[in-house]
Amino acid sequence: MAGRILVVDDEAHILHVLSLKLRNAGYEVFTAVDGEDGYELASQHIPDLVITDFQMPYMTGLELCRALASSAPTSKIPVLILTARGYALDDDDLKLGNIRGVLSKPFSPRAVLQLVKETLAAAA
Amino acid sequence: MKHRDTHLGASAILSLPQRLREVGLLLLDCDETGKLIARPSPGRDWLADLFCQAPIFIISLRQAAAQWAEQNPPTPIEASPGCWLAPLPRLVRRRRIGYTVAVIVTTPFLESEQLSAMCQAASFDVTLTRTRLAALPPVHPDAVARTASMIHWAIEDQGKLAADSQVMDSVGQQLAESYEELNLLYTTIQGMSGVQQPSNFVTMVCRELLATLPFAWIGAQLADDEPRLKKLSGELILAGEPGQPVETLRALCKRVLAKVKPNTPLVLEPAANPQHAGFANLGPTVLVHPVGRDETIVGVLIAGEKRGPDPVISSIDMKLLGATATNMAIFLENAALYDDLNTMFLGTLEALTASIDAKDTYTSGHSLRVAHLTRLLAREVGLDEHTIGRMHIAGLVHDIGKIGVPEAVLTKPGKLTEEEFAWIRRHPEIGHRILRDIPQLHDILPGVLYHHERFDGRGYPEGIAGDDIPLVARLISLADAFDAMSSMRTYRASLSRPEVLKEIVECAGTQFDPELAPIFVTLDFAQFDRMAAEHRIREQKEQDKDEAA
Repeated sequence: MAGRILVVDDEAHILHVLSLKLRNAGYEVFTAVDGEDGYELASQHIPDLVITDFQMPYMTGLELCRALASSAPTSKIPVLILTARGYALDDDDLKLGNIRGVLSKPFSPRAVLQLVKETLAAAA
Repeated sequence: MKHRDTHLGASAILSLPQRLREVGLLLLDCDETGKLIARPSPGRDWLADLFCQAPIFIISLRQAAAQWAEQNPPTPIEASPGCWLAPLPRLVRRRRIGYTVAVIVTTPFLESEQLSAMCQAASFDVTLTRTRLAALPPVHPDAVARTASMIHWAIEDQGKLAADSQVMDSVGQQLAESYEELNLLYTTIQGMSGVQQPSNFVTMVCRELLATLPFAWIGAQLADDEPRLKKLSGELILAGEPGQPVETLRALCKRVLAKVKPNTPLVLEPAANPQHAGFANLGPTVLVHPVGRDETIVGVLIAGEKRGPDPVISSIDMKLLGATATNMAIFLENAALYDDLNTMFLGTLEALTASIDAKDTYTSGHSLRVAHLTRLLAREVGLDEHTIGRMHIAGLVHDIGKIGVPEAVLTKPGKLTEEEFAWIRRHPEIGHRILRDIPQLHDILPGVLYHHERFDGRGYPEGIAGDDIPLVARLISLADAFDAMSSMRTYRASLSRPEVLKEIVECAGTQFDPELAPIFVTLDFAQFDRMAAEHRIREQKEQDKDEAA
């Protein structure tokens, strides 16, 4: 069963590539260009999964994760993080319960799709 | 007018208001309080001047904005009889920061008091202005809402178009970068397939990395405790322009090499990390990746002084440098293995031929010297490096067939009988038979089989002549005869150098190739003499030892 996915990234090409890949795989995709935008859309639509970039203006991917975790309707949504940071994210950062995976850029869209499937299957 | 960038692309800003103006509609921008921003400069458009210079209009715009602030979405307002203001909110991050307002004029406006007041404010002639307004494409009062909607669609469509074109630009830019990254990997991998000097490969890799990654310089520091690196051992190969003298960099890069751990990239941030303070001269952000396999480190790739808008090292930088470091490690490993293999192969051949030469003390070191002279002559003739190497091997093994000749015949002092000489004459064929099943030595075989052929066809085993004798055999023939004449034999003393050279020149065209012989006599025989002397000393020692025993 396909699901509804929110993709948040300030880089247009990432949004584009991921939405295309996910839509072609049968998912319903919403997109947002920053954390605030993403949080609003997530609260409004309660997607089955959120994929978010780590570094974004106004609200980082991590802040978005915290915001989602602290609000009851969105707290159960699993999140995958994309990062272009050269060095690994702190383990402390990743302790948030809703983070299910981290992918560093450049990533294979196929690998993202695989992780999405696994994460949704595990959450079901 | 940059505020509009948030929802209107650059192309829409220029073209859409102009196009709407063509059909008699004026577009103005105001902030969320109704204050005009970026008002059109006076004197360019009478319609814009009429409204923007009238205090009465400025006030009604502010009043309208106050009402719009309460509405979501805001609706068109009749600011004065027949003059409609249709707002489209401008958003930044979902917050209203102002409005793009379409001013829609309908017939009642032409007769209104406001028009007279506005004309006065702008010093316009009322009658003339009225005529000009009447000449604009008319909008019926009932059509205001519809017109406002159409303007909004147009603005929104333009905005989407501009946003899409920004996405296209971004995707295109990214695609171009991805191509560069792919090209880096292709080039590196292609460079690995050819047999080339390790130093050329490392230089090529550094240059390609520099062209792809946003760093001021790329360096490859090779370990100095790795004997297999040979000439590259301890070298620093640089591409780009470091801000430091190379000598400073050399010392620092060696310390980086000492600091790095197997399979672990390292980001040096001297300003932020006190542990990296000693590396301040390398630049504010330095990315390092070890080059090596498993636990061994044969060098490091260093990307210094990150450039571009983002000073932080990205995962893309790391992945590309890491992949290239892996390729480099594989290449260096292969080059070392190839070198090992080649050294061992030559060493084995030398040992084998030395054991044959040893059967006869008078020919000790003969094969090594013939190989040396064959190589010299091959180079002088202008052959390529690979062929020269093969000629050397042929020279080394040319007498291998002597292993099948009885030792008594080889070491017999004095003249040989017809039967004994028949044995000697068989050694080229015996050698050929020994080697012919080794596929890697096929190109060597003619040298072994034909090195006793003579240019005039009076040689053995087949009696072929002239150019029918393969080049390799004609080269060895000269080297072989030179060494034989220069050495003492069981049946005669050695000839002097001038005597040997004279003999060779005289035999050009009969025994030797008439074109090769004159070249041969011009060779530098210094190394040959050193080799001969070395062997004489070794032989003498062996003899003394034997006598003592």
